[in-house]
Amino acid sequence: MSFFTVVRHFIVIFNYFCMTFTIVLSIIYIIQLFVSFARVRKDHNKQYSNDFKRYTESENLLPISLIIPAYNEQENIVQNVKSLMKINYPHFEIIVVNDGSTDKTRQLIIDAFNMHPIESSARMIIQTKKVNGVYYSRNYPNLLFVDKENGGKSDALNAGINASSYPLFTCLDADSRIEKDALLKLSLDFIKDSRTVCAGGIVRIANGSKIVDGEFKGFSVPEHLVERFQIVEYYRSFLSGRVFWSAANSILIVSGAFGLFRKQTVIDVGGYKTDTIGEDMEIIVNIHHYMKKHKQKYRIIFNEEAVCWTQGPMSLHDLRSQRRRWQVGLMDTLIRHRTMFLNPRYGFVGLFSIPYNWIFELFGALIETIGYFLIPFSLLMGELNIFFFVTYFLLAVLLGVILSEGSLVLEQLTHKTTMSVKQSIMISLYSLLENFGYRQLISLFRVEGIIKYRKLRRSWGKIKRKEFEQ
Amino acid sequence: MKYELWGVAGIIFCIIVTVIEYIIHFRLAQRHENEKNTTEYLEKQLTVLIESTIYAPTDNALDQQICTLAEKIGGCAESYELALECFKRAKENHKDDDIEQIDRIIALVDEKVKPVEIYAEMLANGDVYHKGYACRRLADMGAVQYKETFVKLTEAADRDLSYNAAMALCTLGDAQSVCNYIKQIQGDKTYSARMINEFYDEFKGDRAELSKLLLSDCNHYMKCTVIKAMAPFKLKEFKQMYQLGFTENDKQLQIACIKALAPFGDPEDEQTFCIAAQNNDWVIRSAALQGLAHINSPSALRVVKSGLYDKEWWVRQTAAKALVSMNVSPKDIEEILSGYDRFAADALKSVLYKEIEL
Repeated sequence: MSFFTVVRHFIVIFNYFCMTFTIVLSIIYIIQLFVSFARVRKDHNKQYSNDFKRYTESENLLPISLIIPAYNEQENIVQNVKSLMKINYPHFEIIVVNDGSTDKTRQLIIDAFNMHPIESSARMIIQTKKVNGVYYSRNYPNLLFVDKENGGKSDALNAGINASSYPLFTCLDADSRIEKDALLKLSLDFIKDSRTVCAGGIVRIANGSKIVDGEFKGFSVPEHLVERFQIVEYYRSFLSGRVFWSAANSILIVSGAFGLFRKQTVIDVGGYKTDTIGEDMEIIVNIHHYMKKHKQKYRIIFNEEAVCWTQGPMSLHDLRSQRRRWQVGLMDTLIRHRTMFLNPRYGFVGLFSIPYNWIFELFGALIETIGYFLIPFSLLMGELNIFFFVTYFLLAVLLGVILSEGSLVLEQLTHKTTMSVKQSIMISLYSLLENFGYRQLISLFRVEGIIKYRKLRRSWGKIKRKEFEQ
Repeated sequence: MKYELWGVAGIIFCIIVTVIEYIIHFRLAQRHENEKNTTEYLEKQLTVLIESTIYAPTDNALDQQICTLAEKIGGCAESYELALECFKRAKENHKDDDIEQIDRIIALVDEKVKPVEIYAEMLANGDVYHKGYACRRLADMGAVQYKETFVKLTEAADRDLSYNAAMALCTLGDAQSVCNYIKQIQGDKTYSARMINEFYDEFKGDRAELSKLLLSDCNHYMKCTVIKAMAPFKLKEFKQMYQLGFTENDKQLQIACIKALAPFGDPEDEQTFCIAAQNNDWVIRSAALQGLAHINSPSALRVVKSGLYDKEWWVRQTAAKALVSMNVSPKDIEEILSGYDRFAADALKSVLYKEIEL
């Protein structure tokens, strides 16, 4: 058998593999969509009987420390803290951790809130880089400002945990906004089920939306195409994927922009790992690892009713940087916790969730990208039947549209008044258009993340964001 | 040929599903936009009507305005709640003299709209979620006639519904039914102990009676939880039980009893608190210091000061907070701040910065 024959055979086999892979993945996604649909409807109705607003003044909700790690966040930080001060929650403290910013973040916070240095007796439960000072203001008694040397987001979060005094803490991004009632909704998960160790909210793209003091005031379709595609993408990821995995208590990621944690559990697992850039995923997988290993009962919940708004990247360059980082974070976490792969000791997480992430989320991008080049190539070489190719292509696109459009229907069920009819139709068009270029680009960025894993695993990128519209 | 047929069938199926999704999406968006517009319009109308009701020149005019308002609300729970929201806003925007008038108007509107009937309808015909909501609303309105229904619903399979029914019974102050519900869930450890606190906060009847029932009927875990929940209400008839409970060998009972004794801050318990401040459990030590802070005697002050040198961070913080609230002399403070123990000085400084105006 000649070399060319071997290559030809390989190409043909790989083509079939690619096609089977895409169809299987789409079918998994559609199963996720159906499960999520049932779950979202139930959760949404449940909000009615939960009547969370009753708890606004309750003394019985667990107090929460809101930790905001800030590195060069001069555009957003003051506005964000002011908005957080107005949230509906009976007892909370805000801890802003300045992670050695080189811009005016530190001075802006001190001036805006009239803060002065105090000698704090914070505990060093988790080792962090040197804390230069702790600031307090009598005008804002629930605000604490920790100024420390640069050590990365994880290190800043650990410093925030050390300085916090409450049993629950939430990590928030400086460039995100949580809705006024979001914490109330999340904290009820801790009261009604004492096994809850973490609850994550839905992160929605704020580009084009007007958010004032944690309240949604209006939506207009964002200016850039990249932003529009991300709106569809976020709904798909959160409303379909996370709801499904949460139903099986095997969610592997709670967004770094908004998650509520039981502090003791995070301390037990050793806090956030400082040598990874995917700290939000790592901490969740670590909690699964630890709890299953120690045979403790626990729940990690995703609550799609608790909303956090975040600014998505506005340019392809920033999007590329973000997606590469996510892929590196995913790869890093999966490698760290490789012992969980197909390990029955870790239950559903080890047998399904981790393998799914290895096969479809990590290598999926690689297979998809190779397919993008190899399938047209084999078509040109006459190795593939044109009818077969067209059928496969149409099926792949249509399954993608079913999934995205389904997520938009879920969005209509959960958050009724966000978009007008015209805007809804316009956004749903993007669930079709994303299949022609955007999805392929995202796959390329993810593959780049895998290839440059060693180089990128320690470097955080900075994404340019604009201020929230007021 | 077979594969090709399958492929075409798959494509047709996907197209049908996609079209259905687009139609559902469009219909939902249309419905929500209509609902939004209707609500906004109704809200505006209600606001105007409420304003004109407040400033109605004669009783006749007032009557007419209230009839129109009741008509607008109809028998709809959402509209009624929207009207209440508008009344709330009106109260915030008006002078104190008008607030009485607004309350009178709310009572008159209630007479016409009969909200109890609206929620009773929801209780009878709604799904589990609406039933749960209706329970709480009816209890808020003091609808005792639905007590039996609430009692039945506490046995519902749906956790949220039974919880809401029990909360409604709390609002109505039915000790026996609440006790039965708590007995029913006492084996369910997934409920946080804070639920019991919530029951105690909401309970409008005799808390001492509820406590007696719970303490005689519940298991050990629930008894300890109940004692902790009772603590903020300082129920004097149980004080002796707390004192005795603390002398038992059971750690959980000791923690619960010292936590319940602390808010009294009774000088006769000083000895108990002093002993508890030496306990090997830091939760007990911390609670004892809180009790001593209320007593505020020189001997109590001595023990609280020694709490600043505790090995546990939380106890040092509690001691520092307690010390600042007691009659501590500036000399004592200076002594601690310049003392050899940096942890004690740090804890005190941290509290002083926050408590004392510099």
